[in-house]
Amino acid sequence: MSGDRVRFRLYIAGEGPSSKVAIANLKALCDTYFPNRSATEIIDVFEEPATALRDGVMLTPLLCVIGGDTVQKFVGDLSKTAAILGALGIKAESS
Amino acid sequence: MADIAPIGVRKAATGVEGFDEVTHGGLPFGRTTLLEGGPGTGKTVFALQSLLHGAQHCKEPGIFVAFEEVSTHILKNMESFGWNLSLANGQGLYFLDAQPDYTIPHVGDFNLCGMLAALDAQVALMGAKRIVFDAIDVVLVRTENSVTVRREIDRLHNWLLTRELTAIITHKYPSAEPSAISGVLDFMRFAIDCTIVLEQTQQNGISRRKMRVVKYRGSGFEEDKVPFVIGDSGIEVGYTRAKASVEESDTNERLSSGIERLDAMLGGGYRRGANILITGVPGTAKTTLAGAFTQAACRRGERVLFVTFDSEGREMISNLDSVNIGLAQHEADGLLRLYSARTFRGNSEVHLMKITKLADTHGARCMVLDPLSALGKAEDDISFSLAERLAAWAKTHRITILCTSLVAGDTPLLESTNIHVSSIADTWLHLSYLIHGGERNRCLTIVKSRGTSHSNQVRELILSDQGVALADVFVEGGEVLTGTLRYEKEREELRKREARTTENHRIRKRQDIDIARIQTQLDLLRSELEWKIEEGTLLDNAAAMDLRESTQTRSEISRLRRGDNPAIPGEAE
Repeated sequence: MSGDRVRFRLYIAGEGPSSKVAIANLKALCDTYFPNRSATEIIDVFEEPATALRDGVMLTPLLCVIGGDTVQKFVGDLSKTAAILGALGIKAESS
Repeated sequence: MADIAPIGVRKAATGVEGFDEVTHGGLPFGRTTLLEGGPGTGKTVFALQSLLHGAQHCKEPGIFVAFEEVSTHILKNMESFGWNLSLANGQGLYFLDAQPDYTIPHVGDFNLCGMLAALDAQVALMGAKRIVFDAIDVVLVRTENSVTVRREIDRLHNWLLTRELTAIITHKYPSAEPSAISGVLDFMRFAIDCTIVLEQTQQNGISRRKMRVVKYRGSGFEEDKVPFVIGDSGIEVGYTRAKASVEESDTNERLSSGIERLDAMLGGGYRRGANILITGVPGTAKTTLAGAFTQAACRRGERVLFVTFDSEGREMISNLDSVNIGLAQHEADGLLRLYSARTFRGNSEVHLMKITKLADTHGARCMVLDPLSALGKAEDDISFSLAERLAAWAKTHRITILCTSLVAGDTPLLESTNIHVSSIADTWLHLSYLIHGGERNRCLTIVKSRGTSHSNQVRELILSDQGVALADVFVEGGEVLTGTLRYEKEREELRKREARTTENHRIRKRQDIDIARIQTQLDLLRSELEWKIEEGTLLDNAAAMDLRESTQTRSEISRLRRGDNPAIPGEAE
């Protein structure tokens, strides 16, 4: 994970609080741990239901972390940062 | 399948046999139904079966959202039903695999919007009108936060309502582990329009399935538990609504019972479409009467299904042969279908369905169940409803059905089960033994027969190699005489009659003689009388002449004596 470019695809549902929190959390994550080497794509399932169907998105928010040829998924508004970092194998920075 | 006229709110037919009758038309259209039950009770089968029916017969495409079992798994399991699932994959049916992925970490609050959005896409794509959520208890199982659970279930329910989809949500309940969902669904029960509970129990080693409609807003429904089976082609619910009005008009036709005299007593025979019950202790020739009825039907060219529980088919046919009832010929011709159910062990529901199917395929117009009591042996509580359903089914199909039944005692009025069953029967014949004078003879009583006036009449039933016949009984001193006593009595009566005739004859003859004699005497006396009268006359004449002469003589003498005095009286000569 270190050094490589990382792609984030976040599926959210509308503009409710859950979506806003997820987006904010993702931004924070990117800025802290992947500065200048991340690309983020946000898909609103309400606007693109066919995509949701195609991609099998059942629960939202859903974050797909694509690095190289591995895809790591996370469900939720990304509040549990430690868990995400742990799964990605990134040491948490105390800030 | 007959169209069920829906009553109440608009209904979506499920095509599950019997279920649409229980609910007066099916599931609530455009509303949500909660289908609950333990594992293996048939929820998935029911849900899929009704979804399929909607797609195939009601032009209502459906989506199956699978939370627990993978859809390919489900389809494989359903293969044995022979359903035409070629509609699957987008055309009439769509399977969405929504099993939770346990490898994905949950890192915060989440919702079901993704799924609902995906479903919206699919609904729009195929114009779906029905949807199934199979095993909702699995969906939010990883969430301990009950607020989340409640919120999401609410979301789902609202989504369903606004899309006006006819939905079935299956829920494993009661389940081994309490889930957060159960509590929420308790709350949801108020909001949901229809709740159905499935259960499966073991009784005496036999598995029984029952379903109950717990709640159905805006509609009447059968409130009792109804039995169902998972048969060869899916779920079949054992429920027939009793017809409110039995059509009497087309039951004027009479069918021969096979016994001439009995036909006469019944006003021509059994009514077409009637339910006939023959009770009696073992050995009283119930099967014989059933055989006579069967033979008569076959002779009319009608197809008969004879279900025997007690004897092997061949044995029974040869037994009947000995009383001149030949069924072998009819079986060979294909008119008679003999089904020996002796070795069937299991659920009587399944059995009943099997029998009715047999009758259908055979095209039977008449049916015999010998004995009916064997069908309801194991469960006394629903044996009556079995008989009821059988009777209702027979009436709907205009099949004349004859059932024999065992009674423990010799009085038909004592058996409670038979009282129930007999209330359904149109004609009830009871066979019994009469023991008298060292002999045991069979008697037949017409306990009840709608439309005729021969109730409570007893006749002696005589079996011989000539066939079956009825004879009058003699009642002497309040006792019924049958058998040889009857024969003796008949002979005696004949003798008495002859004796009386002879006696009369003799007396008559006697009288004739007397009359002749008296007549002769009369003539004699008359002659005597005449003679006496004549004699009397002669004497009178003589006397008169005497007097005249004597007077004349005296006058002469006086004259001669020159007496001037006329005759001096008193002068004696």
